[in-house]
Amino acid sequence: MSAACARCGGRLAEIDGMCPRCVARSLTDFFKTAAPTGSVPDVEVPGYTLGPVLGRGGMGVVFRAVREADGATCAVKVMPVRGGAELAERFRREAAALATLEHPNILRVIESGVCSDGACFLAMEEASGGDLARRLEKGPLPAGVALRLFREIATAIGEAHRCGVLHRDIKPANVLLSADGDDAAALVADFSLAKLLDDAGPGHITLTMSTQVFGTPYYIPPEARRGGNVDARGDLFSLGVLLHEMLTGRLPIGQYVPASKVADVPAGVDRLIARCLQEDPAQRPASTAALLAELERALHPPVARRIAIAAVCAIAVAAGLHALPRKQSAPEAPATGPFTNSLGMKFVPVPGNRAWFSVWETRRSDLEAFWAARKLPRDGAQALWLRPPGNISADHPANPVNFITASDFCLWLTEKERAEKIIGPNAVYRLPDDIEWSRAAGIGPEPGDSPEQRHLSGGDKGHAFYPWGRTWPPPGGGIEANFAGQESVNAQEKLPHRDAFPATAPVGSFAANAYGIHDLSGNVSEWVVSTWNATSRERVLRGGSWNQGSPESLRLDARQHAYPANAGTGVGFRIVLER
Amino acid sequence: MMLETANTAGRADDASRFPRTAWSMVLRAKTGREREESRIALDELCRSYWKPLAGYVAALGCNPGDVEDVVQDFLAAFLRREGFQKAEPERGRLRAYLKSAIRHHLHHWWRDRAAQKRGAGVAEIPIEEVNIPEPDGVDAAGHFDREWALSMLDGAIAELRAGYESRGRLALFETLKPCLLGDPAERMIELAAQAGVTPGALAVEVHRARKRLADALRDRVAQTVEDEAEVHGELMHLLRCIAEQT
Repeated sequence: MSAACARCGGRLAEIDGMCPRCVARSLTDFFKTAAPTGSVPDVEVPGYTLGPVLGRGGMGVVFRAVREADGATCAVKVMPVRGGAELAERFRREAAALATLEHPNILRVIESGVCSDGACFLAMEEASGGDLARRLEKGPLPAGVALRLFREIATAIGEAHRCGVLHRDIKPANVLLSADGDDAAALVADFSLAKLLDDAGPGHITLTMSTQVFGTPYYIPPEARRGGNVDARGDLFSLGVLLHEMLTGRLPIGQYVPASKVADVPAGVDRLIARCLQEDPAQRPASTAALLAELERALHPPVARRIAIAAVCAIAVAAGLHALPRKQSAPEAPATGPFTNSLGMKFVPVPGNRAWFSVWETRRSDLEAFWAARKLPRDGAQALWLRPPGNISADHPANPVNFITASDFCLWLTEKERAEKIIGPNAVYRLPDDIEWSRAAGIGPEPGDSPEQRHLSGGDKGHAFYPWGRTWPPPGGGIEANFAGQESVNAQEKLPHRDAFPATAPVGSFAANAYGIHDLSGNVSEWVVSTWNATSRERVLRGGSWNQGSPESLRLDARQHAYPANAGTGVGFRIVLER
Repeated sequence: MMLETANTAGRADDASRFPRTAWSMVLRAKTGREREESRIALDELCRSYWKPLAGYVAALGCNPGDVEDVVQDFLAAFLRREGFQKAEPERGRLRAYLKSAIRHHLHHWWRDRAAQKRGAGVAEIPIEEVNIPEPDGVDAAGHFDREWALSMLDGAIAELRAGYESRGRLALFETLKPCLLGDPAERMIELAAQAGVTPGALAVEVHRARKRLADALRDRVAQTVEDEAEVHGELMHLLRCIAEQT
């Protein structure tokens, strides 16, 4: 007699190290759930006459059915759960509780019970539009449709939470559509079944029984994967994944493309999704109501904030114009708004600075134009440049770049645009100095004669240390900058937060500061022209980078220093235009 | 670890590919050449199920020392006889036919032995007369079906392993084996981490493996029934025989 199988207790001799009984059970479920759509069922459900298969999911097969008592059509889901009378009774009780959930966006449960072969079933109202997973197979939804459906889904989940019911398995296959077409309403199905089936024990249910479930593990919140307690915030994680997939047609895995780069939604939606995907549940929105409120703010920024930003820019423009000698103004460049150069780089004025700041860190596309024009060889020193971490687009910041290359880029661009009369004969592109960079970051006068002294001066200097202010951790849990959080693969030190970018982010992925400048904090550290101190040959780096993960490295008044020929990962640059 | 791409792993899921199986060939062979082909196919088929036959004979009460002789005699008689060509299409499944036929053969063997005529030749097996009742209190038929099902499953798993081995992916097969047992998704995430692949990539490969195993088993079952309509029912019966065994 063979030893008992730890999973099923059977004592059949193993085949290739596997319990035949477990394999047979798994294959039985496979053959049942793999029944093609439209095929005839081989199971009997008391009180219902089953019709053809409507669809398959990780939890079972859904049949069109007719209720024998009154002839009403409905959908019956048969789930391969067999756990005897106790489980069946518990299943019935929980299903009865689900039947009490009343919401226009929750699929109504009519009845539950046990089939002829011992499997459990749920009878539900029928949704004629199929499920969202099938709809997404055709590609992402139009942004307006996706956002409307998402609001309906989140509202339904919120109502269930209010009634003390968690969903635990939010994914497109569990969102049904009331009808065909873009006007259909969302109907959320299968509340709590994931837990119920998990509790049935190993082997009763797998998430790989059908083609519907590829990628399902990505909807599982991290705390559930670790076997920890899952509360309502676990559903919020899944909602974040769902929103991204609805907008982009893809799962937010690894170096994923932010939704705002694919769909017509603002970057604030990217940040909201990233918040939902936080490793730590405490960093996610506190509730579906909070999530929906944040979504509305992301889609429609408060008027007051927009006015404030515009006012600051207007003041800045005025100050910059006053500071600039008229003869240095390029005739082609607008004097009162952002100036866009031949590479598409945008420059804005900063109060107190003569030079206008590029709103973005210098992109790969900018530096590629330089490499091409100079016909420089791609030698070994540029290996990291050619193969940087992550999936990189032309809009990602140039990284890594040493100080010499950054300076050379400025010279080349100055000569090029002077020759093309895009900038005036006395206008100059260059790297900012340490004080100019501080002003662009909103930092006022700091004690000390050198970057080193200003860095070491520390203490309360009255300015905001971080993009959001002076407090740590950030209020609301979100960091509006690309630093090394839980998403980072190689960073030695990680923040407890998570953003959407394991390496660099396309420039402008995070919100701009009051002057309209993006990514001063995070993404790549930026060379400034100043030396570390009066005697050092080392140049200064500002702003921290995607591979740094400490509150200190996030501080806008922090500085690093390196020799000009050095180009570490996470080092790039931003240029200014002195007109 | 590299996972296979879809085009190397895919297998046509064509319901019309039901093969002209050994058993259906046997039942339908009309010409001499067809009969010879069917005899060779049947020979291979029967040898594959030697173990269930031997187990069944033993369960019916045959002396363990005689089991091998009985099965050997049976197969020799079974393969050379002409009775199949007279069989009607509704003869059904090879499993059911062999079960009845060897039971009948054992009956003759006992009778011949009792008459001390062993070695004087093997009786013809008229297939119309194979429905002999089993001994009381012995679930020999259940045992036979289970052993039959296990032989099928064993062959399908061996085929699955051989496929991975031929593609140089044996390590991948070993990694995903626990998932073929129906382990939950959390286990898959753990295994993916061990293998250095994403859970999604492993989930895709597990699905392919499970489908290959299902296809291999289905093909084997299809070889033993007369037409496609019987495959699903026979498959589910065999899986039940294993799954319900305690």
